[in-house]
Amino acid sequence: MSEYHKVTTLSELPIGGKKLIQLQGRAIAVFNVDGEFFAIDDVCTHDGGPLVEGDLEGCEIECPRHGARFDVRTGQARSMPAFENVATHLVKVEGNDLLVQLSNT
Amino acid sequence: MSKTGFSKSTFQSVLKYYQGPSWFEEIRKQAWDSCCAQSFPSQNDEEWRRTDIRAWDPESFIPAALLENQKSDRNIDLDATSDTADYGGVLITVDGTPYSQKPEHPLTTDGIFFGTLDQALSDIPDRIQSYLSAQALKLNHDRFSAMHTAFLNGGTVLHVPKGVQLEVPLYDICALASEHIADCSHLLVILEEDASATLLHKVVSTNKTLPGMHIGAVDLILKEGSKLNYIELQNWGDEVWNFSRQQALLQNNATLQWTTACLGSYVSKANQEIALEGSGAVAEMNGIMFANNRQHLSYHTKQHHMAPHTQSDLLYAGALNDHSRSVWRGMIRVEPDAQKTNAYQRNDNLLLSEEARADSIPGLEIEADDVRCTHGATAGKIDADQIFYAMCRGMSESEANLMVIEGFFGRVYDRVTSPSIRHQLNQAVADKLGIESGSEHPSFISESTS
Repeated sequence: MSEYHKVTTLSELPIGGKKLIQLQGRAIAVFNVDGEFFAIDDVCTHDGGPLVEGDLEGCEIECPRHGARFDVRTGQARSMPAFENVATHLVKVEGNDLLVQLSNT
Repeated sequence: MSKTGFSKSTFQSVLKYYQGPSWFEEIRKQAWDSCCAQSFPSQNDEEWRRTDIRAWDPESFIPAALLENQKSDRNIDLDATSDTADYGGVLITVDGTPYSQKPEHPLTTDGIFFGTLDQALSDIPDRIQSYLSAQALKLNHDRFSAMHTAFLNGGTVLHVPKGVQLEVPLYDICALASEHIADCSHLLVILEEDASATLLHKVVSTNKTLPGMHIGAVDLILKEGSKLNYIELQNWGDEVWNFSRQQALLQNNATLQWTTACLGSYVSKANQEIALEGSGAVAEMNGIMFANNRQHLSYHTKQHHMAPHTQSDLLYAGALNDHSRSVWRGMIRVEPDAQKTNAYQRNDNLLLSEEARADSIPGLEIEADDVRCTHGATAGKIDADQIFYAMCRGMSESEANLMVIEGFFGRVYDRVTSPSIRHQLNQAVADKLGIESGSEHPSFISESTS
């Protein structure tokens, strides 16, 4: 449902860090890009690869399977073989906690 | 003591509660060892590349084998009980416990056995022991198979003796009615030489919102000249994780029609294999997959031709809505001795939304040089011209869409010969489409025998 859930703590997500969390039966990847936090579906829109296992360079995550890159801030597919954007989710910080609200997409 | 999960302590509890023959207890223990020696598959394994189960937590479920026997007068709301008049026998199991059985005695005067696995182990162990010990359970296939065997909580056995023709279909229901239950039940069907039967196997949740889990197995053994019509209607709730390994073994001139309707579950991952071991064996595999919301339905089929002059024909039709996803991986494998094989596989997908996705991957491994093997895979949206044409004739857009979808599945329905079973399939799909029974919306599927 549309509400925020605590998924991890800020101390587990330093700058440049990434982490896989499970929320309501879905695999979600959370990122810390220069002190800002973002959450996307951890499923590459090309072939379903686990994005969180790829390299995070700046604001772009690279899928380990075939090299597709996504902007984690917007979900935009930035390179082939992906052309479909990945779903993003709302994130907020409360104290040392990171909370995520799944979007309806 | 914790009752959840698949740990050593819960396995010890299963052994303590179990009251069957000692040879079966040995099978369980071997399965437990196999389970400990294997890890769960990862996304790097080819079969699991497109099926993400990282959110699945087996430790949060209670193995049904640990549930205390429920009283048989438990009032379960099962729609199925209202449409059982057309069947020669009805067996219902709820949360792994036998719930009702008609006729009451599993063994008939013809020597046909249709009852629970526990009854079979008690009444006809000689008829089933070799299958359970050898082929049927395949302990080392993967960790799921090993868990299934170690935590087996029962199941259904149909055994038809030589030459007996069962004209009226049988009906077997496996239901989940409580939350967080892990059902590991087994279906074993054995048709002796020249026997025939029709069986509808329905798996269902009484409440669509109940979280649950199923690690099941189906074994269909067809001896020489036997004929089986087997239909599985999978209608688990929206929060159920469904893992199933299903196989059929056909001897000389055996005939199998195997129809699968996959409508429910949150994630389904099923392996279905037909081994045509004997010359002249014929198999037809039909499938309907209908997914919506965030459902993920993954079916891996294998048509394994091991002997000459065998035929197989697979037709799977999938319709996908919302953000759902289907994966179909089909393999036709022909061994060097399987000359004059005639094999066909086809997967058609109807995408009803922009976000739905179908992965359709047929494959051929052919080692004989005088065969006919073909395959096809399609994916597309509803043809806008067809909708326009229908609307010109006075239908609304939604009526036109529904007609196209029903027609899409109709090609598979038409292959099912039993009218009562065809009606059940039709109704289950109509329910999912949101068509209320008795409404004015016309059903475009003919109920007459084709």
